[in-house]
Amino acid sequence: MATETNNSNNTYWNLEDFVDSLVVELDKTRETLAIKAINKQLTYTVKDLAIDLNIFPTFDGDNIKFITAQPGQQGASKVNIQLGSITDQQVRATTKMTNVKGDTSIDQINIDQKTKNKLRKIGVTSVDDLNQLESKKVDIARVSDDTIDFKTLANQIQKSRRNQNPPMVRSVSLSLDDNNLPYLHLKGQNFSLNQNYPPVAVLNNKLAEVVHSSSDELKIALNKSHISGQENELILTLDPYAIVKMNIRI
Amino acid sequence: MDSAFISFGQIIEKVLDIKGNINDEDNGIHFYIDEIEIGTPVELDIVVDENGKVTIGAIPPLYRVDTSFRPSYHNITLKAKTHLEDGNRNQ
Repeated sequence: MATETNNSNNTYWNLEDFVDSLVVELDKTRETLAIKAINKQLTYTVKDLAIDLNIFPTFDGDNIKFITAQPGQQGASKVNIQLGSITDQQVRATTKMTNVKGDTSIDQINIDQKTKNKLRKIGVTSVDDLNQLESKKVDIARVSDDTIDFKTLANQIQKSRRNQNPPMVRSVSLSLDDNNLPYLHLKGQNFSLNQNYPPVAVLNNKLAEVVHSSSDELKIALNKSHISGQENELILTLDPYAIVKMNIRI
Repeated sequence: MDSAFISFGQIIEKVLDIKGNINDEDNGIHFYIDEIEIGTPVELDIVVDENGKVTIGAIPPLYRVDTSFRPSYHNITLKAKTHLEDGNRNQ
């Protein structure tokens, strides 16, 4: 491994960040040259760029990082980076759209870093990628040497998605239905998002029937056994990932 | 970044800041450079901030004196082409 000599700022970098910085610099240069071309008839634009770097690599078990050789340091490795021109059509053909609305990055899922790294190694960076593998019946457990369990992962994804759309209660009122029977009327958003999980309501430790549920409305039938004074505790289980607990004064 | 270095983009801009025209009015000859390839050794100063953002500083060799303590020279090779559209080449 390299020993630092006269430049204390010399730090390890990873290739992705280095190339990102290089591309940003090249983009800036291209813009400057394009502006220059307005007034100057003959200007030049970068077609290809190659860099030979003298570097010392290091591997921490997951990532390879590099540090540039400093004056006087011998035995550095050589890395050659070549950036060629690419057309917008080629970019579209070879690049996956990121940050698509509704897609969730694996960074947003509450899973350990080791699993995230393993997913990245098999080319999975978002929930959409995972769904594609699932639809093609790819056995993720097998390709990851039995270290990734899809069921656990799917649960974490659902949980993460639910966290992005948490239930919000705007109002609670006591009403009477057509048969003059009382019910609690909750209005808000993100109540019932998955039809596979009907909401369950417990009022003062007694199960209450949810007679109507939608994304923005819940109706819970009441009887005398449910009400016990002014303060009433309502626990709503909307799905396995969203539980709401509130005190209602009637 | 060390003050002796300039950004990588500036290096490219300066390298490509060439006239490109060769005129011989006496003989009525006009050339222009269509494509140019330049290679140069450079010293690099690569700085990484706390967010992992990399800044690349570069400078061609500063001194032409042989010393026992040699800088580590990296190399860049740049291929550039005229900015003119094909239809404007003969203008």
